Amino acid sequence: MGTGSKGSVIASILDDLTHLQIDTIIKSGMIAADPPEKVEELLTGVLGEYVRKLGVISRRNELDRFPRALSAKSFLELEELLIELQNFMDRNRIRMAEPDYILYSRMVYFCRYIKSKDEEFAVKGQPNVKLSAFNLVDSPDFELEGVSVRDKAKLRRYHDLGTEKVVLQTRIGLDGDVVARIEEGFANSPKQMLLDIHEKHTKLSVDFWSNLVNTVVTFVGKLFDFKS
Amino acid sequence: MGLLRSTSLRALLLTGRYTVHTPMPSEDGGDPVLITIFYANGDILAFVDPERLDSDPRQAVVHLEKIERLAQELIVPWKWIEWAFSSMVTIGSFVWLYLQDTRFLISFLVSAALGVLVVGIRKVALRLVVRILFRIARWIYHSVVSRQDK
Repeated sequence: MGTGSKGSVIASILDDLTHLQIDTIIKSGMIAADPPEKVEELLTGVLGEYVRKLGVISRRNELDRFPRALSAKSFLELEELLIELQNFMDRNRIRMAEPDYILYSRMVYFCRYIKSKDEEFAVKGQPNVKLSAFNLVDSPDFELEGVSVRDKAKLRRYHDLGTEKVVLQTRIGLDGDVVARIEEGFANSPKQMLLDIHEKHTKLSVDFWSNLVNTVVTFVGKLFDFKS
Repeated sequence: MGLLRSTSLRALLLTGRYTVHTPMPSEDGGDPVLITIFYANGDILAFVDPERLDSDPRQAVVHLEKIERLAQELIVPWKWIEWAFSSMVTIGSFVWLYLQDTRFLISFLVSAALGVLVVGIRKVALRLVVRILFRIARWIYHSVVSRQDK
């Protein structure tokens, strides 16, 4: 791992530790199924969901004339497809609806995240194949190596989020910054019950975090008791 | 309550996330109206089915009560850490003694006695460990600095 890479990992961990994010999503027809335990299934699930949603976005934004089939078997293929789609829209002066563009950006971000992990994640038994280019669809029994606990948590988070639209988002930073985002459609006709639930979640998150800080402060306090 | 506490904390520690469903799949076999996923880093992802919630607003109240309970369970008291430390001393001393070719019964009795002692004086014992850690850190710091000075 190079110095730059180490630096970005530390920055990413610090960002994680010093920020809390509370997202509320409106979703019809939920099921109480737990996410898959295996990382391989999480990845395949995310790719499948992104490709499916890309079809929906394409129909919704009248992108029928796009000359390529909207399918991808790897994250590299998906990224190429997304870039081609963007170029096609630019050429034809088509603008996606804002919520769809947010999903589009999330897909691009995730593809690049997987590509950035090509040196760390390895497909077992295939040393020359990079994960981003690996055909996930036709390889149901593949195994991944080198996935850290932190990456596993991130993959699980993206699997949970899927392609859902976040209507309420609160991001709280250690420096005191609080950013609240409300989706335009929801802001025009808000539901008090959802706001109450979001507020409760925000309080839970802040309390949990402040308890962690208090524990560290107590420990350090004991240390200084003895130092003096 | 005790079971819930261990379940939520255990799930957080083992999988990095804890999910609250309302209604629970076991309660009426139906699909959830509200789902809260709590992550170990403090982030929260919540899913709401607004149509089903409109037809049964009581579910929101139930869910908020569950969140309130979860909030109480996740506040780990300092005392809990002291108990965890005491347990570590007991288990650690047993393993160490046993690995030193001490007989099983003697290892067990000595570590149990040590455990009881640490539980009794856990606050003092914890302070002792903090002091030892501090001394080790200071020693490492000074040895590194003196090596650089040379």
